Amino acid sequence: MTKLQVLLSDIKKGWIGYLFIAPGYFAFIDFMLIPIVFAISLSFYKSSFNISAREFVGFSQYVILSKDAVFKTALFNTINYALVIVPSTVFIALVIALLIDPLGPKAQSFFRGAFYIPGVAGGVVLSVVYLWIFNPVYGLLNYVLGLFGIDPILWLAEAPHSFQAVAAVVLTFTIGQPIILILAGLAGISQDIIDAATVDGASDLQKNIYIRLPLLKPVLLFVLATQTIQVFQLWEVIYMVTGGGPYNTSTSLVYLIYQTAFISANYGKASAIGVVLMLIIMVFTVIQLRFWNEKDA
Amino acid sequence: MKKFAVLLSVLMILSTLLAACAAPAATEAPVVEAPAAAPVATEVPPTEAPAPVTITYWAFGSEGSAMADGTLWTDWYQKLFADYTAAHPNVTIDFALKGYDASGSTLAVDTAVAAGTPPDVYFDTKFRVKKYQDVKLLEDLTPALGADDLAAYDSAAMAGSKSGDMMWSIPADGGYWNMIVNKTIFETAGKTDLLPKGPDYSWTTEEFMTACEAINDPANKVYCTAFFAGSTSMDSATNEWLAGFPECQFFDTANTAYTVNSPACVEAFTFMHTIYEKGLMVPGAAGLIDDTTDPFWLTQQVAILGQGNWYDSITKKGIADGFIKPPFDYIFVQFPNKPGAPVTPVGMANPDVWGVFKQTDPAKLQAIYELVNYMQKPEIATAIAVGWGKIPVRTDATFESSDPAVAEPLAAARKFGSYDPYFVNGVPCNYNDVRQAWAETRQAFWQDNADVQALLDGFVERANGIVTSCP
Repeated sequence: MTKLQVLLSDIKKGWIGYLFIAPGYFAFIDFMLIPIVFAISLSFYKSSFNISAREFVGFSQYVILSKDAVFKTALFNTINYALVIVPSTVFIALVIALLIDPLGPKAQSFFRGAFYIPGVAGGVVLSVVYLWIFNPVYGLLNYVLGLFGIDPILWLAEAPHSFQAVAAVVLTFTIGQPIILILAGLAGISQDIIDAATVDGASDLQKNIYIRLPLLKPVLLFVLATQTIQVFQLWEVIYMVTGGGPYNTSTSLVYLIYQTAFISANYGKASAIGVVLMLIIMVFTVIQLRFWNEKDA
Repeated sequence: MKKFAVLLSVLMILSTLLAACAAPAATEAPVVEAPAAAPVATEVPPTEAPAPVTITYWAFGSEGSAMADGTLWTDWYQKLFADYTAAHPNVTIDFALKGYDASGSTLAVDTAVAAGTPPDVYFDTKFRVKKYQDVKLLEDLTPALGADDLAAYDSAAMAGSKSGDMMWSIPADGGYWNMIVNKTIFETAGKTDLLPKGPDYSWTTEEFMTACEAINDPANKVYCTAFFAGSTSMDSATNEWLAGFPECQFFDTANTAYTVNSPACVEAFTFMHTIYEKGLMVPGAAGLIDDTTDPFWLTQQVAILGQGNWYDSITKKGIADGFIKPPFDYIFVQFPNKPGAPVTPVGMANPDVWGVFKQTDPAKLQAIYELVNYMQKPEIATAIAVGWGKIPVRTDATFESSDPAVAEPLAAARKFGSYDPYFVNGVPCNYNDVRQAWAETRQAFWQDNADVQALLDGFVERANGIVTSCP
């Protein structure tokens, strides 16, 4: 029996089960698979508002991208965001989780909520708050820096501060979920192992480095993978806080897709950027999953 | 149970397939060109009842947006269209206001166009409507106007609505902007003698700089002026400063080329950069946008700004809503002209225009022409202009205003002429891409040690590359 025959046989036997999961599959096909296939096909066309009047241009859009300075800047920035934000998020979340973990249930609940709330509020709401915090004249951040004798910084008007500003906002609202996940991972570590290490005379630092950290690896890899994908899709904070500026120093690939598609109405080029982004995310994800599988084995 | 499950699964598959396949059909329909010169007032023989027509009319604005006198735009349009449809019983008007997103893009219209369901009539600023003309989606509106209408328009305003002989839009109004000065700040500092005097309210760049340096007090968070370059929005607020340097031309229509790197323009931008270098403006212009600049004016932290009519309107609203406490007096003055140059003409802002998307039904197109013709008549166009705090561009419009925000700029415009911050005659294609390049150039410009000539050269090269790639 071939694999297909096995599958068909399975479907025949358990068709009511398949019926129940069908809505999810149809939603996936309608809202993910078809748009992805359409976007890939659109990247080989020159297309504007009137998509039905598109013109086939082969790989031209990709050739244009390879020479496009703004695209290269956006690509560089996107990778930079991932390299800065993802490790920072994982490290800070890990430290915070290790600090929260020994606390009592009420204190733990409070801190879980406190760190998770920004994530619930979302990037747009936080961005509006941060616009005031970063204001060059009456912003809170420059006021606090002024108390330490530091001159005001033009957070949104100068490179590389605009990049740092975006990274700070993203860090604020993405950190809650990793903390919750790491706390859950810590709760899953058997107390017997910790007790055994205590009996052997291990310090708290040694317990963290040699016991908790290795046992948290599956959680940390999951956090790493999801955070990487999230940062590669960074858009709303840039849209709200810097608009990609000054002179594209804080722009990202997804923001460039938005600009190319909805400001310049160049759907073909925007689709090509989307395809490039999809390939990058796929490569990163595959590497991380390989690493994950190796650890599992 | 089994039958029910089978029926359910068949229905789900069908509905999914239908949902996936429904939209594109409308875009495939062949476009029927309208008759080249269909008369506006085509009389339908009395024996034939005209076929019912539904016209989709979208105007920019968000739900709850109001005219200058507080009337909701929705209410105003609904009443107007109720009157119109009463006189034209076969016509139904499906009206909606469509706002912008934060970056000023028209996502709602773009999405509708991509889906093959654009509105029939779209009323928005000239640049936004022009992008649909760039991809040949608009009708020629020449047949919508009679000879008397054509003769009544300000020729410069009408020229901006044409590409060659094709009239892709009809202008309704224009915003004439000059400078607004917070007189209270100058009074408090005892420096009112440095301000321009009536009746012309003009000053040179040197006089401006003297006043600017005298009033600037960053330690107390009072700045002479402010610029913003964080987005493409309202780039005319920078460009209107060029009006004081008459030889500087942003765009050369005759040669279809951007020329903002000419010596005269470099001189103008060098003057503006002096304001930056001397710390006479709100810091961080490269990251500010029009919305984030407003609070500096409303909290009386900036003394002089362009876009006078805009700041006038938000100040009045602030006083009416009670969050601004008087005294908050201001006057309008001209932009500074370089010594020896004539008094600066008044900046003319992006006009609002009607555009009509391509139609497949000649009878419906005729009905749309009649509706547009009705809308552009002096009384209605004037009401729209006043509602937006602008002025009509038909010379036969009876237009008087006691509002200094409108009356004074208009008087100055009549006396010194008006200045289009971008284009005197027509808009080149792909202007949204050029605006993006212009925003990036301005962001680089508002930095320490900016090389003005190199930046403008870079912009001109990029912008002219965009123009030459036009279809």
